[in-house]
Amino acid sequence: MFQMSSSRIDQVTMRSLAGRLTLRDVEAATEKSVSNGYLSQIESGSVERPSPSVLFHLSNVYNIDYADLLTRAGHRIPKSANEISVAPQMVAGVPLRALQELDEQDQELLRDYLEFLRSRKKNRS
Amino acid sequence: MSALVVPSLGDVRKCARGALSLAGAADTLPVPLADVEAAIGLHPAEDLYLAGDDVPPRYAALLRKIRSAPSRVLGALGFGHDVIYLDPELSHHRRRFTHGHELGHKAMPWHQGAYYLDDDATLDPRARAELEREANAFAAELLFGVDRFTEMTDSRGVSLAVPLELSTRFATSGHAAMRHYVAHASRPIALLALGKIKKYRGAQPSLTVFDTQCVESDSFRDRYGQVTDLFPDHLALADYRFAVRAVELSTGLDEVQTEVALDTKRGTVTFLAECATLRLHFVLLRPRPRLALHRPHVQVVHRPR
Repeated sequence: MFQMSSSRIDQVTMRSLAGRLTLRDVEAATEKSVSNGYLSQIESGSVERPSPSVLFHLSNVYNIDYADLLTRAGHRIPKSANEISVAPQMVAGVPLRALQELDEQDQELLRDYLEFLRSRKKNRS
Repeated sequence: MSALVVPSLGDVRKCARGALSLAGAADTLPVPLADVEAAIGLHPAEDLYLAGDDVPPRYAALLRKIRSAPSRVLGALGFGHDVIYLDPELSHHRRRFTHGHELGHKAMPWHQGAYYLDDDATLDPRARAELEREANAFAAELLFGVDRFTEMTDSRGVSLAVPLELSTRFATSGHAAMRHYVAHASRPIALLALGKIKKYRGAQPSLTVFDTQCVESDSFRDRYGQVTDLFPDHLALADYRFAVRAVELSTGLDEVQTEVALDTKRGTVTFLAECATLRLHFVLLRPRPRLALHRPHVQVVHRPR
C-alpha cells in the first residue's frame, strides 16, 4: 500500500491508490528506480517533494497523469507566482539565467525563431 | 564541495545505457553522438545561430540577448521539432558535452512531460535546475560510455596521466576526464582545482580553490570527508608545496609527487599530491601507501584546518 502523508500530492491523488499495490510491487514495477525505502519516506512525509523522475515512474505504475503529479508536488506552479514562464512545447536546455532575462514576448520570439530555423532547413532540403 | 548531487543518477545512467544500446554504440569510441541522436528519434543537430546576413531583422535583438555572456545559450532542444540546436562557436569538446546534455532531455522520458506546460503553469525554478543537472549527468555518462571509462581506469595505476590519456579516445576535455575519473573511482582519491592567477593576501601569494570543480570519490568522502573541507579557500604558496609545483608547471603533468599532511575526520593523514595544469591547476590526492619504500618527495606540510 502506498500513501503520501504530507506533500501536496497526498490527499487527493494518492488516497485513491491505497490498496492497489504494495511498496514491493511498486519497487518491482519500476525496476527498483523507486525503492521500497524511498516510497516509505514519501509516505511518512520525510520526502516532501519527490523528484520528477520518481513521479514519472509512479504515474506509469498507477496509470495517473504525470503533469498532475508534477503540479501537486510543486514542480509546476501557477504562472502568476513566478516571473519565469515557459510557453507550451517550449525548448528544454536553455539555461535558467537566460530565461530569466527573457520576458514572455522574447520567449515567444525564441520559439518563432526556432520554427524559422526549422522551416529554413526544410526549404533547403 | 563535491560534484553536484543528482539523486536520480541511477535512472540517468539507465537512460544513457539504453540510448547507447539503441544506437548500437556500446562498444564504439568515441561515442558517436549523431548515431545516438538518430536512434532516439531526433533529426540531425543544427546551428542555433546564423551568420549575420541570414538573420531576419525581427530576431536580431533577441539573438544579441541570448548570445551575450554569461547567460549565452549554448544549446537547446525543440521538443516540438525533435531537433537539437547548438551554438556553432563552441569548441569541439564543449559542443560534444552540450550535444550530450540536449540528448539527455530527449532520452529521459520524464523531461519532456515536465517541459510541456499549459498557459497557466510554469516550471518551478528548482525543478528546472534539477532537470538541467540530470541532463549534465546524462551527458557525462553518455560521453564516458557509462561504465566503460571507469572499467578502463580502475584497472590501471592511480595518476592523472590515466584520464588525460583516455580523454583523447573518449573525445572529451582533459578537465572533464579528470573529474569523471575521480568521481567514479573505487579508490579513495580526490581532485583539488586551483586558479592559475596568484592572489596576494598581504604579502603572501596564494591560489584560489575552485570549489565547484573539486571532487572526491565516494570512498574518499567516507574516509576523510569532502576534499574542500580539508583546505582553506586560498592556499598560501608558502604552506603548500604542491601549490608551488603547480605554479612552476606551466602546462601538462608534473612527474614529481609531493606529500601533504591534512587534518581529516580520521585524524592527520598524509597524502601524495600529483599536479596537472590545463586551464586550471589540478591536484590529485591519494593516501600515501603505508609501505611506500620510495618516498617520492621531500617536504611534508602539516596544515591544520
